[in-house]
Amino acid sequence: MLEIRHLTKVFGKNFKAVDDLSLSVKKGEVFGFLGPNGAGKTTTIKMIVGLLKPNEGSISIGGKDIQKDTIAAKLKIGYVPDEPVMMEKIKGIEYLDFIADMYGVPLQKRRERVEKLTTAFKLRNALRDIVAGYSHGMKQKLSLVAALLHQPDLWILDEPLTGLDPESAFLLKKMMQNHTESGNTVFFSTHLMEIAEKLCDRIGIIHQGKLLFTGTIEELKKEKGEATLERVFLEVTGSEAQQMDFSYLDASE
Amino acid sequence: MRHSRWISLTLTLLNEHYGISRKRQRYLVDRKDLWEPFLIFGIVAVLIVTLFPLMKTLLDQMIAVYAQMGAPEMVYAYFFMICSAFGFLVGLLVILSVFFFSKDLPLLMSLPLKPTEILSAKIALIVFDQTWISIVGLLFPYIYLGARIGLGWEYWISGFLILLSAQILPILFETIVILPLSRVIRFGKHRDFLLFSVSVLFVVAILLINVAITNTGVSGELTEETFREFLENPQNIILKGLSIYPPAIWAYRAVSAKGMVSLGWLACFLSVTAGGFLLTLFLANRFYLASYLELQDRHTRKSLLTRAELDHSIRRERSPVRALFIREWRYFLRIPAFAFNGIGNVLIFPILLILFGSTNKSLGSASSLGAIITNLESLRAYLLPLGTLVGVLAGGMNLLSSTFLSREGRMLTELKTLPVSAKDILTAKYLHIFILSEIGPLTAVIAMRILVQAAWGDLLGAFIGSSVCISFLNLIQMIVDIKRPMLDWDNPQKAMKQNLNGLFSVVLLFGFIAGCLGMGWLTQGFLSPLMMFALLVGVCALGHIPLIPITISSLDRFLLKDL
Repeated sequence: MLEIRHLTKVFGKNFKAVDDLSLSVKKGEVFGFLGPNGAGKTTTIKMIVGLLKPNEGSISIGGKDIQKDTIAAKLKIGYVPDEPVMMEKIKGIEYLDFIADMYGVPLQKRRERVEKLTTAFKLRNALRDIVAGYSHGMKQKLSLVAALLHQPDLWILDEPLTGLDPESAFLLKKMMQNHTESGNTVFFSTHLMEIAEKLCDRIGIIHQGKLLFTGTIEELKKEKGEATLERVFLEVTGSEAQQMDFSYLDASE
Repeated sequence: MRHSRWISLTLTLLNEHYGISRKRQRYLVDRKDLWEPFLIFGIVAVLIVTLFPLMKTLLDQMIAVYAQMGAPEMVYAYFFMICSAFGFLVGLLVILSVFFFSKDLPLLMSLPLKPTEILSAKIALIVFDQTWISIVGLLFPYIYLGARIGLGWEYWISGFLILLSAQILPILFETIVILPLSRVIRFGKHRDFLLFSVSVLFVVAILLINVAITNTGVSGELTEETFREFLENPQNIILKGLSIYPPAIWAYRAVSAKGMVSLGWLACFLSVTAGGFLLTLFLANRFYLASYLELQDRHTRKSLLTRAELDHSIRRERSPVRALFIREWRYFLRIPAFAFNGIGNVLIFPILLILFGSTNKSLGSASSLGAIITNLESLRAYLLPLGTLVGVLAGGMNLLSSTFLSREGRMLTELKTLPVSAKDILTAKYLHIFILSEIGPLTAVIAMRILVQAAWGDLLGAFIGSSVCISFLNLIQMIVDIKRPMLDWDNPQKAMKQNLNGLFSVVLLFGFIAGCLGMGWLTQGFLSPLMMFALLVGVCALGHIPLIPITISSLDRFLLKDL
């Protein structure tokens, strides 16, 4: 479903945010993209959805190249950014209607989906309000509903659980599983190890722009011989967090 | 301690507002886009060189007239009034944006700062910004008048200090109006739009009432009594004109009086300014924080949207172009800074034309515009090409085409992720801008009908002709904005007012008008007015053929670039 080949992104003269990254995500798979802050997760995702142009490499979504066959590729994607970016001066219902128009969702289907999705995410009572008045979590939910309206083949979710209340987070996790069970694909980035452990069929760990590992969590644990994914993650990314001393924070002057 | 905190806040706001650190990084460290400062410098130099002879002639004439009345310093007061009026017009939207809708306010409100500290720092920022109006409009007349007449030290000191503080009073006056008003407007979902609209109406109403009161007694026919009064003391009549804006009288007294009297008037001007500032801080303490917090006080409705309501809201499927077109209108109308600027820009010139025209008509050909109108009568044969250019001037000043991508700001991310082609995006945006631009030619032909009773055929021709030319200029301005959009703004005002592309569009528009007038002048001997019109419109119509594909392909390439 998603094929990334030798993807490289250089910012400025020589800062490689993503360095020769190759991976493929199969149909019906939940793929977790893990990495510390600044590792290159969001940059990779932005290249997948066409927000950034790679310096090298190619990205294909369902056989459509995002650079060459942009519109056809975008029609297959439902994208939820890490920070919801949407028109804030319009009503929630107007925003969803606009997105449905963009993806050509038939009238009856869009009505049904808007009703069901906004009811599920407890957003229906806010649809007549201007988006600017929504909380961060509500904007995140609206962004999610907008991304799901056209039943995309591939969900691309950048830190989708950030800002969601527990109920909505539970719903989203369930939706992600349902989505893949019906033959679709989910690609999402996260910092939360337990989420990755519970949801993902496979994971990829990126650090300093390089993909350090792809495979199942079992394979990773087997390879590193650690008990928890969190410890494996810290080891793979070369983190020194475990040795750090923070006692100075509470020391009296 | 608090003093240094205020300075730090003001300096940081100035740094952020003008992007000083960002520009330093770009020009001095990264050494990127070095052509930008040179371009600005070049445009300013061209404007100075071209406007200098015009300004010098105007000043010489004004000095001669007022010197005969024994009051040459009135020239200074006249330009002071014009700059203050501009300050009023431009300042209102800036004040509302900076005080209530700026993105840095949530951060500032969370810091241990008093409302007066935030407000005074913001006022300092606005005054700094607005002082450019005085520098552009008043600095040259101030220096030229003083040097030409050889005025004394009182003039130089008072004139300089008044120039620097000229924008403070308009800003304070509007702030004093807006702060209590912001407590009254608490209703409705679109409180920001209401606050903008009511404030604009309120300030305009106050100014109109003031003008009406001041004009009582000096308007109408020149009676024997007023003529005698003028002969006895011409300065009284002059000062009556200045009484529309009393600080202009104090400014005039300060620059025209001698010795301690001059300094006394200067002290009067500065102390009223300081008093206004203290009153603003007092009102800020009472109203500002509460108003700001209330504007943020939004909550969602509790009632669930029923299925019938949902079906009513989602009524039809639209094509991407149609949906994008509706998006354009919503985005434009629901952001007050865009709506007021966009509509105001295309309306201001024809409205000024009508207002000045109707005012000057009673004075006959003696007044400046009266003389122009009289000249227009002799140019009646050229009404079609000239009317077309008037329409182009009115509609081309829209600043919407030169900021069509810049106004998206962060929203461009949303646009880039949508499965729509550059052609669809461009079609929707072009149509939206074209419809708004048409207000210009429409009001311009109405103005022409009122002022010179132009024939309906000429008016229709001028309307169609100017529409074609505006569309041509819009496309050029859109290409410029695609090449270098200004997307990194925190306040919508900046997307339009601080955008280099806007400056370019003004230069392009005036260059186009001047070029057409020059060509018309050169070819008047062998080209009929109708031929001139046909050539002008024909060239602009043909210009669409290469421009449309260039605009689409430029946008297409831009949408593939990084944000």
